[in-house]
Amino acid sequence: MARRILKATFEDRCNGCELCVMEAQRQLKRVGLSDAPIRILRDNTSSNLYFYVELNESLLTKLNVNEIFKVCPTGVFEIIEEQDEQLLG
Amino acid sequence: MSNYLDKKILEIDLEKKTFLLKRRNDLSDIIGGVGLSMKLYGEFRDKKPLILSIGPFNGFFPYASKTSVFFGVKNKVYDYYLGGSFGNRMRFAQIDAIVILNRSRNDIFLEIQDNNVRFLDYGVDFQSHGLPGRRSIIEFKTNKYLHDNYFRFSGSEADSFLSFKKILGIVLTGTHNFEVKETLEYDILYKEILSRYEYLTEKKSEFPSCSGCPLGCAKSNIAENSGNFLVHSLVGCQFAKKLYSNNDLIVSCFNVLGYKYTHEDIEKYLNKLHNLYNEFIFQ
Repeated sequence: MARRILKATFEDRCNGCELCVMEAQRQLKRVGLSDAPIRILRDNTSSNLYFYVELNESLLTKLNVNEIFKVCPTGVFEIIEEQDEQLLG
Repeated sequence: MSNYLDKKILEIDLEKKTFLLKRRNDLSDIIGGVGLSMKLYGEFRDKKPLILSIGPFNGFFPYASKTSVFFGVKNKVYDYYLGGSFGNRMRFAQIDAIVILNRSRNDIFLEIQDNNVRFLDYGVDFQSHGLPGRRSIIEFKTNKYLHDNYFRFSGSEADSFLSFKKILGIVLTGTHNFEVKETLEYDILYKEILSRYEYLTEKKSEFPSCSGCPLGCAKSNIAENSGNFLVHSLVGCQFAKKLYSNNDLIVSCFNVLGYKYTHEDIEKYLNKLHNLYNEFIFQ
């Protein structure tokens, strides 16, 4: 059985809108930033604003990653299908 | 959430280096944002307040992505609507308004986490404060104040006022999560609003975006000023004016969040706001 895993493959495209964070939290029936499966980190130290996407894969396994993929306006994510090792073994 | 109608006001006195969080139910007929700021400005004007406030939809709905920044100099008042993530963090700190009173004797940084405030002296490693992913920073850089290193005020008045107060920076962290009772209705309404790109008057681009807005528009970095009172009470983006001046949509949003405001309440509120407005000379 294949697992669908969300990857922030194109992190450099992130515009910091945090819609992915909100989508993930809504699926967990809450609104906020704490205990979020996705975090958008800001680098304030350089001369520009850069974003980093931090994913908690164990929390994301419970979620509909397709909805998170769709809500991103800049195409930061891709979904990779991996075979479940237990089944393969 | 228990009682949306109460307003939580964080008062910070720079001179005494003290703070106080007040839960006020006497402000329940004031929706938020510019209305809340005007009311608080009237109460504290002798103490030269800098007021940061949000509206009921900040953090909950798309395009409600600004922070109302309000202050007075001599007989004039200034209102700005700063983009970025600060308003979103205020929501998750459970603060409706931050009222910064008086002037510090020395240059300081403010670290706010939920209802707690720390006064940090010049020389601290300011960037190491706050919780990554849940914080928002306003900081003096070279010759102006920048929020998250990108968003800024138009003109020089807000920068001058922050400098006058000797605030070098503010780092705000919000750690609270909210449960929404009407989950399905909230989800539907959220997605419906998010999908209404055609109502926005600014185009999608590749710049940093405000929290809760997918556009990344070219104008997000410059704070708005003046404009529609209802939009600025909700502290929505002016480019989403068609959405956030639509009373039917607004009442739907109120209902789903548990607010009791009706169409009539909105009309009464706007009348009250115009009366308050007439007390001030806006720039």
